Order: sequence, then structure tokens, then C-alpha cells
Amino acid sequence: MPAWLAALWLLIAAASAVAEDRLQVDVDQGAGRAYRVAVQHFERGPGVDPELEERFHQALISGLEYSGIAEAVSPRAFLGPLETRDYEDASFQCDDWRAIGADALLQGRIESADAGLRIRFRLFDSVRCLPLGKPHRYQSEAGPSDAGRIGYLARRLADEVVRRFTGQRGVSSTQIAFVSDRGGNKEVFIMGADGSAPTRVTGNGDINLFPSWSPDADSLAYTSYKSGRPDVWLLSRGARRNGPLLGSRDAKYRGVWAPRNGDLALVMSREGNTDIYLVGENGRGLRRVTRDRSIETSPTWSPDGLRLAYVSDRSGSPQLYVRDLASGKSRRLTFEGSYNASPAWSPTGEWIVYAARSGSNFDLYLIDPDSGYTRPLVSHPRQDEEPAWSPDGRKVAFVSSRRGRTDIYVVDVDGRNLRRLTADFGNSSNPAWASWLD
Amino acid sequence: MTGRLGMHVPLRADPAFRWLVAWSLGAHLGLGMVLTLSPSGRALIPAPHAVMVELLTALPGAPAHRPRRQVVDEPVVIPKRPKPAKPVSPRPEARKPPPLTAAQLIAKIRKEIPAEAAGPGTSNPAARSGFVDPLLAAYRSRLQARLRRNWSGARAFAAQPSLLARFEVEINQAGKLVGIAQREGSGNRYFDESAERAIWRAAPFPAPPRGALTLDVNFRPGAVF
Repeated sequence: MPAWLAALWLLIAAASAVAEDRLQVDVDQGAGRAYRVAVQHFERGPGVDPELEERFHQALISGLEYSGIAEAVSPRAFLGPLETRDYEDASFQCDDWRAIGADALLQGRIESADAGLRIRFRLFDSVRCLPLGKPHRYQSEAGPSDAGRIGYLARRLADEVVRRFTGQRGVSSTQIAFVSDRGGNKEVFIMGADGSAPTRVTGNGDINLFPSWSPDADSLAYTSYKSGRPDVWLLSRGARRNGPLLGSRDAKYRGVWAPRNGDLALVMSREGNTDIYLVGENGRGLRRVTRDRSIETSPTWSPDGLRLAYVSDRSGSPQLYVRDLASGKSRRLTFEGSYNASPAWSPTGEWIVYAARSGSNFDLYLIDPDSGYTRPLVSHPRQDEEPAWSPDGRKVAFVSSRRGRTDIYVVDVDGRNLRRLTADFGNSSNPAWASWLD
Repeated sequence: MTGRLGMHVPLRADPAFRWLVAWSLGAHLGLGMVLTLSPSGRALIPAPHAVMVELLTALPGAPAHRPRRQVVDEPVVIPKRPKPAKPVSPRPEARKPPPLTAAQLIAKIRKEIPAEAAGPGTSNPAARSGFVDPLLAAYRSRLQARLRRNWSGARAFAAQPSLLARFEVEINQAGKLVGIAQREGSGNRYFDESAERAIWRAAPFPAPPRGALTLDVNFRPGAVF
């Protein structure tokens, strides 16, 4: 038999052997299911009320589900214990939890400590049967109301669970500032990112608009008509500071904090021309950014602080522009539609969300600031406008009038997980999402 | 001549019988030669449908880093990658190179065909057309559905469609998971972990149609935007 024929037969035989025991499988998209967490009721230390633990438990589950990334397994499915019996005993029957479809088991202990509360917890990966991160603890400051603080601790923990799954902390423990007329005047309020505990933070009896958080979530800039003309005011937590940013008599509004250097971009009308200016948070170093005869407004910073996106009507209709601050060059970003407004640059830098008029209504769109690629985010026959990003870039808060009055809603960046945040009274608008407090 | 069983056996010395046997042998040998050597004779070789596809899919690129592997129940032996054949230095006096051995032929084909372009599920239509073993194709579809169903948290990474995690998964003839080795990380360890969990959750798998199997599983978040 010729050598080439023998080689051919050997080749085919070898290939057959390979063919029968290897297979390539491409998995290109999951089913969209969230991480499933079995959440045990936490062990209670001496003096911890069962009702407090129950409140903590519910807030924890609510925080997980708010994320859209994790969800709690129904306790009716549990094969293992419903509660953490002895936190010090770290033994773990992973099969019991894997069998009910849980990705992880969360167990812990609540105890009193230094006049506050301490949460200790650990997370087990029940699929791979190993700890998911190290055991950790959170402690609240001493305060008159454990009930109020326990909700924050629970949401803080929910955000940490999200971080241990994805590497990016959840946002259920963050806050959103917004404007509401529920008390008669337009005042600035703060609420939890899930709409919990709305609290009024201005009370000057006049019109207050456009809140914007400092990068450390410690201060708010807002526009107040208290002095008879629009002016940018600063307000710090603990009311260490509450007053106008600049002393000039020009109309100033929409102050927006830069992500890094403490500057604010704001809109000022001077000599009949409305342009964008920069100023330090101490009110010094005012400098002009745009120099057009048209109206420039609604500035928003890129996450690196090197560019500003804003709205200008220099083309005859309001459109989005991006300006490089170093070179001073601007370029037009939107060309579709006759009215594009309210840009907000995502913390990850990938998108700018904005409101675009279609017919008589506004819908929300995402646009890639580099390529100009656009995709719809929220569409509804009623108005959807004034978008604001969550600090992780996974959610967008916005204003919608789909129920008649205006309310604050939040939606995931893929258009899913829509929920209304504000309650059933008054009109709410101008959401601004704070970064994490700690 | 009478045999043990009483049958009459024709005499071997009969010249007509000898001529007949010789003619028959010659005819069979001649026909066999013609069928084997003629071009049409190759059609008698079983068509290597699945052979071709799986040969191509079994040619992944070299892992970007040393695989991390986990042993499940029993010791796992993942076949070592064949070492590249040593170059044969041609003899100065030889005009023709020596014929390639089968192993050298396989190595040559592997070198010439890019693994990524040749695998099933690839966009290369030439690589995909006509070479899919129906049983394995159906089995692959079942595995894809099973892994998708058990992949938690893929949404969390939907904004990063370029992520890719590659795993080598061994399953025995009953579909039991025997071993997992990560062949290539995505650069995002949380994404890699989510993919690995999907494999663990999906096990045990349906019994493979052709016995024990090594899977090259590639996880991508999929583009939401």
C-alpha cells in the first residue's frame, strides 16, 4: 500500500477520534435571570427586637430586587434553615441551597453596639460551594431611631451583595434629590433611590429648581428665586452652608458640579446673551466657556471632566453639542429631530441620555458621544424628560407625566425594570442622583 | 476422496478447477485495485461529515494564560495539546521531502486553518456548510439552551459585549460533569465567575450521543444595545 494512502487512512482515523469527543458551544446571551440569593433571617443579638430584624429583612430583599441584578429566593422553597441560628458556626450545606436554585446564601447577625446597630454577614456561593468574599460588618452611628437606620444598613448590604456578584456596587443605598410642589412651593427634596423617606431640604417659600450633587454627595447646588432672580445656591449636609454661589446680579441657573476639581458649570445671562460659564465652588475664578449669540444651556460633564455636553439653538433648533474644554472646540452631536434637550453624561462615559421631541411628546434616547450612535431608552405617549444617571451607570431616573401629574421614575439602561419612585401627591421633577455616601 | 463428514470434495488436482480458482482470484484482485485506486473508488470511503467539522472545532488557539482547573469527583485527564512536530531538516542530497506522517499532516492542517474561523457557529459559511453531524448539532443546541437557562447575572454585563470567557468542560458518557478548566479569561473576573457558575448549575448534562465529550464553551454577554 502506498505511503500516502496509509497516511490518508491514519489522518481520517485520527480526525474521527477528535471529532467524536470535542464540541464547541457558544453561549452568547443569558436568559436575563437575576442572581438568586437565599436570604436568611439574621440572628438577633441581645436587645434586638424581632420587629426590627423583620424590617431589616424586608428592606434587604427590597434593596436586592431594586438592583435588577439580584433577587431573593422565596423562603417557602428553602430546604435549609430559614434563619441564621449561630453566626459563629460557619458550616454550610451548599447542596441544600443549590438544589433550590440559589446562587448564594446570605446569613448574618444583628447586634447592638456603641448605642447603634452592627450588622455582621457572610455570603456563600452555593453553586461553587465556597465563600463569596470575606465576612464583613456595617455599623450605624448612635441615633434616636434604630428603625430609620436599619433601612440604610439593609440597603447598604444589598448593594454589597451586588458588588460581590458583579464587581460594581449597587445603588439602592444612594439618594436622589428632586423638586416637588407637594407643599405648595417648589422645594428641593431628597429621597432614597427606591423612593423611600422623602425629606424636604429647602424651605425658603420661593421657587427652587435644578438640584445637582457634589461628587462626594455632601453638597447640593440648586437654582433659587429667593432673591427675586434665578441664582445658583449651595447647600451642604448638616446645613453648614446654604447661600448663593456668586454675588453678581446676572441671572444664573443650572449649576452642575464637575466630577473632580470642584468647579461648577452654570448658565448665566449677561448682557442679553445666555452662555455657559465655569466657576470654583468658592465662587471665584468665573470664566466663560461658550461665546455664541445663541442660547447655550443644560451643561453636563464627561466623567473625566475634560468635556461638556450642552444644548444650543445656534442651528435654529435646540440640539446637543460637545465641547472640548482644552481646545475650546465644539461639535454638534444630534442631527435628528427638531428639539433635543436635557443631556446627561453617564458616569461610565459611554452614553449621553437626552430628551428628544417626537410629535408633541418627549422621549428618552441614548447617544454614543463619540460615534453618534443612538438608541431609544423610554418611549410613551406622555412626556418623558429630565433624565439623570445613577452613579453606577446602570439606571436612569427621569420625569414622566404618564399618570397626569409629573412623577420621578427609574429604569435600567437596557429599558427594563421601570418603576415609579414618587408618591401620589404633588408634581415632582428635576431628579439628580447622588453618589455613594461611604 | 471422502471427508470426515462424508461429503465429496472435488479433486484439487483437477486442472479445470484450478484454472477457475485462479481466474476468480485474479478477477477479484483486479476489481479491488480498480475500485481502490480509481478516483471514483474514493467514494466508497465513508463520508467524513462530522469528522471534518469536529476536526476544525478541535483547533482552538493557545490559551492566553495557564488554565485553572478544578477536579470534580475523579481525577481528570485532559489530553495534552500535541506538541508541534519538530521541523525535519531536509537532507542535502534528497530532492523530495519524505512523506508526511499522519501526525504531521494533522499538525499541518491545524496550522493552516484558523480555529476561530473554522468552528461551528462561526460566521464562516464555508466552514459551516454541510459538515454538521445532526446528532451533535442537536446536542449542542440542547447544551446552549441549558447553559443559557442557568446563566445568572448575564444582564449585569450586557453593556460590555466584548467580554469573552472560554472554558474546557469534560463530561462523561452519562453526561456527568467530570472537569472544568478555564482556558481564557475575559479580564473581568466577575463575568468569568458567572459563566463558571452557569456550567456548574447546568450539570449534569444530557448524555452525549457519542460517548464522553470535551466541550469548548465560549460565553459572551450578548449585545443588548
